[in-house]
Amino acid sequence: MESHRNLPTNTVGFCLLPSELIQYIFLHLTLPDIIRIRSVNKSILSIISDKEFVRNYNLQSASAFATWLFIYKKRWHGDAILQGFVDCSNQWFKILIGELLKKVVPPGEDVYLLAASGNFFLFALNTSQQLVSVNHVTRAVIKIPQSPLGPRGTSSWRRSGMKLFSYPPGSNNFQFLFAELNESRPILYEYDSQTDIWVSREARENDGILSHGFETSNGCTFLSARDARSGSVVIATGSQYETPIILRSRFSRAINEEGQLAIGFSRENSVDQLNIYGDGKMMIVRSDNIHDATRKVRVMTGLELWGLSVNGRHWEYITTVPNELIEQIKKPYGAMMGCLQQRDRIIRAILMSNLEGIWDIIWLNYDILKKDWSRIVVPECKMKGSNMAGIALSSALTL
Amino acid sequence: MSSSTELTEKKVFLLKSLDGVIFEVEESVAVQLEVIRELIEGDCARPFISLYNVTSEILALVIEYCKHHAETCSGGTSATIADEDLKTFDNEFMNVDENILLELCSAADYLDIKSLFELTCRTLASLIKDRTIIEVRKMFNVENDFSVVEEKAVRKEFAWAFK
Repeated sequence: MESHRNLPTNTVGFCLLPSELIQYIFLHLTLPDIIRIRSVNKSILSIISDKEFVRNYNLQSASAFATWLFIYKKRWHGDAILQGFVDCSNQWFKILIGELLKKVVPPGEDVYLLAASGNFFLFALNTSQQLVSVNHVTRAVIKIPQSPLGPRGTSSWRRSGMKLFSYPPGSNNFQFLFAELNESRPILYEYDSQTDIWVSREARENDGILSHGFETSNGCTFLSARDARSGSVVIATGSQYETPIILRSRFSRAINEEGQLAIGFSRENSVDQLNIYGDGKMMIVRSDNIHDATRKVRVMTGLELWGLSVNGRHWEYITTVPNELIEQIKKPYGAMMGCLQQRDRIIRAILMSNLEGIWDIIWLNYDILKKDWSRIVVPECKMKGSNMAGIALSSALTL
Repeated sequence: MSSSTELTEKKVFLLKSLDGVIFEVEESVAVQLEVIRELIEGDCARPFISLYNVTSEILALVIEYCKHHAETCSGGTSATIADEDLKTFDNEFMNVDENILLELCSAADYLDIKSLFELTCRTLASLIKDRTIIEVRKMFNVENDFSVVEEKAVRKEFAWAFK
């Protein structure tokens, strides 16, 4: 088998390949790599700048190719920076938006990253109680009008159950959606950058509308409005439903692999539970307290993935992260937050924890078809001495 | 793979490379070349097929690849083992000189072998990924033809990617 290897060959050279072939090869590169090699020479630049190539690359990025994790971090004294890590790369990239934000953000303002999609980043300003969107490609910074709920600080925005959409890839418009209980009525709030107005719609009860099940593939969006141990309130919306639908989903009493009742299992002070919602799925993070006289320290003991049942009335147990994987990723922590996203058959979970100023980022993927968990190793992002001001998972940035 | 199958008459095809070398391949291997499969299905396949764009060196590799994939897929092993086996084979198979990779990529495109085409594209992309701009220039055998001002402008367009 080795005999014919490494024989001297006549040099083909990349540039002798037809440009369509080179484009196919380039489709396998991450965005930072593509942008990097634009400066190789003029012919490479023209191959990458080709309209057809840009369209194909952006479409592919949006389908399943690359998912970005963004972190907005603030140093104690000084600027904040936005960093991005893409799952098929091995380094963090800085996204330079500081100058852009300065145009609208007063000095000393407390800025928090809420969500990201396509080329858009959405920030909440704590002091001026304002939302701001930044498009790092067009360099447009826009103050979003107050939502029907009025001005609100960052703390009201630090929640799951929000969604930013920018479609098609490379689009210069976006929609921002969130759901909230307003005097116990679940309301869906929707902002569209094209019209620059908010629309609020009251959701109606799920009285058999969903008997045929969701068509998640058909653009149904799930937004969490309330999280409670016995169940939760999720609002489902999509072009196929006239009004948003309330899902009061309860936990089905599934038994997990250890034979324990997976939900409602609680010994005093020994079990800590964090629920992370996203795209009709939920991750339950179970932790134990480590006894320590001076500080509150926990360690993760298990991760479960749950999903909405077909009729939306229950949360159904899907899977547990294998113990070997838990052993690899668990570290003592003081506080934890996360986000969960599903795109096609892959569910992505980010868990971000902190212990006395030291941050740890865990990225797990679950493939629904293969029923397989995998871990994406996130390189060190030099968070020490910084304050975390928001994380977001996003479908691709575009060329 | 097994000796008993040799008793049954197998359809073979003769593939002639650009430099006139003739390769004898079984149908299970030949059909992986989409161009040939189309000929067979259209009943236009003659036993002797000339492939004008592929040298014997590259055709030998292509046949080796198709043979291994055909054998593994019909070997009766479980799908996961076959999958693992192919992965190992593919990795080893891609461990060749860059020029051979380029020729394989071009041949896989011409012969329309999707899996090999994907594999070579992915491998070539990973070579680019690990290199500096200067190394990429060498790889493509090109000179930097930007003026200082032009190069600065190109870099500035997506400034965030360079940090």
